[in-house]
Amino acid sequence: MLASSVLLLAAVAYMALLFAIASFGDRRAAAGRSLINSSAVYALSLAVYCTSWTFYGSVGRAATRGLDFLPIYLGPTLVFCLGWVLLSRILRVSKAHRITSIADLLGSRFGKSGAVAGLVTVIAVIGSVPYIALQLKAVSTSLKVLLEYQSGGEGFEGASVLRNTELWVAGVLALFAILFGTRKIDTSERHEGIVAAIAFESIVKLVSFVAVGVFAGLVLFDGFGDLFARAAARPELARLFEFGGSSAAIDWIGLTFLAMAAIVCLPRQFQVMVVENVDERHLDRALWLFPVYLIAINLFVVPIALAGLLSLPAGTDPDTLVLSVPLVAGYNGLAVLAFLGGLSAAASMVIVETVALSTMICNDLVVPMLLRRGWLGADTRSVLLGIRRAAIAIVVLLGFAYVRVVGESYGLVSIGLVSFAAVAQFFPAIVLGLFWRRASRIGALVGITAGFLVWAYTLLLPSVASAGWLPRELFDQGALGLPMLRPSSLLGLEGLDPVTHGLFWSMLLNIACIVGVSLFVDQSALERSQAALFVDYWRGAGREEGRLWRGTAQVADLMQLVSRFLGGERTREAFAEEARARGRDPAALIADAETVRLAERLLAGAIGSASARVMVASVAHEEPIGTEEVMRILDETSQVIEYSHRLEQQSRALQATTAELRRANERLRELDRLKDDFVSTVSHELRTPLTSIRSFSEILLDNPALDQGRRQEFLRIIVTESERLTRLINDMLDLAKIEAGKLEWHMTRVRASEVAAEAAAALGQLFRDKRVELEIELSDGALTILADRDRLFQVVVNLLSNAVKFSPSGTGRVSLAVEADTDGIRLSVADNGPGIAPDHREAIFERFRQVGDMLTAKPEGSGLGLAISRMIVEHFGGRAWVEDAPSGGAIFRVWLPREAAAASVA
Amino acid sequence: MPREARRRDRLVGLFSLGLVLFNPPLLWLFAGATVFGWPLPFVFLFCAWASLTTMVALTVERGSRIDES
Repeated sequence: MLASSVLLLAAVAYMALLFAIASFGDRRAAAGRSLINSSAVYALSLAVYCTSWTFYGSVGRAATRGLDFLPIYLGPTLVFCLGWVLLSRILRVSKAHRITSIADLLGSRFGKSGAVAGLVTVIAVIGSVPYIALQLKAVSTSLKVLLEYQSGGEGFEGASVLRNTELWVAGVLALFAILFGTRKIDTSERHEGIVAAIAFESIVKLVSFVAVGVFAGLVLFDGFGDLFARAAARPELARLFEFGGSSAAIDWIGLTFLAMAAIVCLPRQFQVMVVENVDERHLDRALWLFPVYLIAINLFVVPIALAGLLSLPAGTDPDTLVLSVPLVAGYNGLAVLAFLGGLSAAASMVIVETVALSTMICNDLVVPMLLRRGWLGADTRSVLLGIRRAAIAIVVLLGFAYVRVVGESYGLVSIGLVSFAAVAQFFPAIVLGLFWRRASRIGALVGITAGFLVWAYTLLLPSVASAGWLPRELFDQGALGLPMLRPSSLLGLEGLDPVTHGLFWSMLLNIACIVGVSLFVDQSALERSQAALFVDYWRGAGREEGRLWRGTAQVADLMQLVSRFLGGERTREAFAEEARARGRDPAALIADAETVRLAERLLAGAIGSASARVMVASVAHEEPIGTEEVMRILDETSQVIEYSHRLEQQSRALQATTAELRRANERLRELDRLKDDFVSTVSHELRTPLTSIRSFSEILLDNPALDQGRRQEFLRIIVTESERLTRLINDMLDLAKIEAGKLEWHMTRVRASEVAAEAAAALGQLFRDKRVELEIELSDGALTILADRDRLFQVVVNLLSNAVKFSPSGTGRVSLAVEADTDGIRLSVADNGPGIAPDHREAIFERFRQVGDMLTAKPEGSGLGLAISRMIVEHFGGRAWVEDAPSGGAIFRVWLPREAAAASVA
Repeated sequence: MPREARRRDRLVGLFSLGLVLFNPPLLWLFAGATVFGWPLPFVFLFCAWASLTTMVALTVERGSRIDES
């Protein structure tokens, strides 16, 4: 059994743990050993996106509408694919300009406009309050489910405690946000303690949700297959997986777009993604870690919904299935874990959202008002902190009031989607602002206002009216009795989900106004320069920021101003750091444009860019720069960027050309070296026979008395060597001709077997002399090839004389074979000589490469035969190579392609 | 920089792939069908989701290793 005291104890203990983690995180940050400096913690903190709306509401939606809770998570996954296009740009620009909220981002982009920032803040608060209310309601509902179950649904002892659950929860969360969210006024506005707690809560909600999911599939049912099979057997459940029709398709696409806008525009997402970001590089890994988290937490939504529908009586509130499923099976501990998961989800959202909203309310609503009235005193830090704390309390209270007023009339998911649609109104302004220079302040103001009004009319009013505050006739007949103005079907647009309907009209008007007005209204000088800084930041336009300000100021004035907001010590540090960065003595820092920008940036971190500009203007006398001049400066900048870009390209091209030239040069040197080698080899080859001819001739000349037998012998040597010399020179001439392409080729249709037979006959004497047996096998039929007959003859002679040269005298066997192939003929000459080692098989086709023992026996031949043969064969389009012969020696193979058209002729 | 740009383009490509996979009309093709008794839309969506995320991870992580080396 679940006692309410146990439950309350668990909740209180859990909240205490959160406080402990947050304070530990803050202490570690103060000690300089950040707890949150990792991309995993960053990704977990992004999971603040998954609120109790995810935790309870997704299951509720899945139980009633099937899979269409998923676009809410698919949308962010898609946006994270665009991480390096959109998100990193927001991150970079925001860090450079010390932007601390979504309102500040838009205000700063549109000419540091207080109006834009204020408008965004108001919309964000109006849009977020229902969402905060939703979290409070979720906690109290979940508590009620747990306690009611215990008492069987009738009057229970915890009733008195429960009546004010929402107030209690609101109080504790506000306290948490105030304690850890408004410790100090800082230029970075980072709250490490909160982020540590949020990351921890993200783990808790994931673990508890997965636990319930696994339990539903494996304990309540016989595995997930069983669960799906049973659901499929029930027609009303099987229907959940049927998508129907085009209006559902439009709703699905609309939801995806809504979620894509929300992940960028929600104040709490901006807070964790941009403001609390420790290191830009964390975003890289978060691009896939966050989607992984989304997948994990959504995987079990459908199983839990189906398990609930199958095992619980009809009429159970679908939004509480996560709790009812373990409860009905008697697993109270698991139910408590699920409750804590839901509490985590709700708490993290409320905390981060209120901190983000308090910064916006303080910087973009209250401070500008105080500045205008001159109510800001000397030390403003305590004032600012007071404003923020009050803002947190007020926002949470508003949420509480909303629960009480609107109450139970709307389902969780509907409230969440209405909230999403409100903040989605910032999306066009953000995207256009970051990518389109001409998007103007007036355009943004008109577009956001128009979108917001349509949102309020089509989505907010119905939710308020359902609480009985407005007459129903407005909805049945439309405003002023005009059916065209019915909030649920403007201009008669029927058949869509209310959220898709509202989103469509508001976005249409929003985008049309921004684009349309921007096209027709000119920007001011400041707007232009800010637009350039935002749009071209990634191209280095930020460097030119200093050129866009001109005026006079005193460093002392600036420092005094900044210290009013940041305190004296931090101010001195920041200015000293700037001086060091510029390589100057801090005392000699002059109040040039850069210094004024620094002061403004520091202030922007504390009070927003619009207010910072007003403050700095109060101590620095700015000379206005005309629109023309701003244009000129920006043009120059973009020209310089363009030039340097082109220069880079040219230098890259130059490098490529240089590399190519170097390669060509190396190739030339290599050829030169080869030629030298060739010449020296040739000289050597020529000298050997010449030397012997000369020496034997000299002997004959000097010794006329030599006997006849010796004379004969010497003369025979002279003749042999002369023949060898002639052969060598002939071969070299051939080679040179072939290489130079000067050889005349008489290409005719040739039967390879005929040529082979002739060559064999011509060398018959040689074989007989050396007593080597020659086998001939010609089986290529009547196939013809296109070749020069004499050259082919030369190839066969070369191969055969080679073979006989290396065959042992007496036992030598050489076989010549010509056979037909599918697309050519194969000619092979095998011997049973010593064979050729695999290493040398390519080398022997090179010039003057003879394999063998050069000292004992100089092989006959020039050493050019194989090189020439291969060249000839390749000229015919064939190949020549050598393998191991089955008989032990080497087998030279030649493959020649058949003549394409001549196969059937001959 | 070109390598960085190439990876960015790859991510934009994955974004487009996701747009197609996660939305009708492609999604509507699987309506009502089952695979091994599991509802096909459910199986398809999570498989596509996991694959897309894996590809994003490969693109992002492989890139950062190259940058470090």
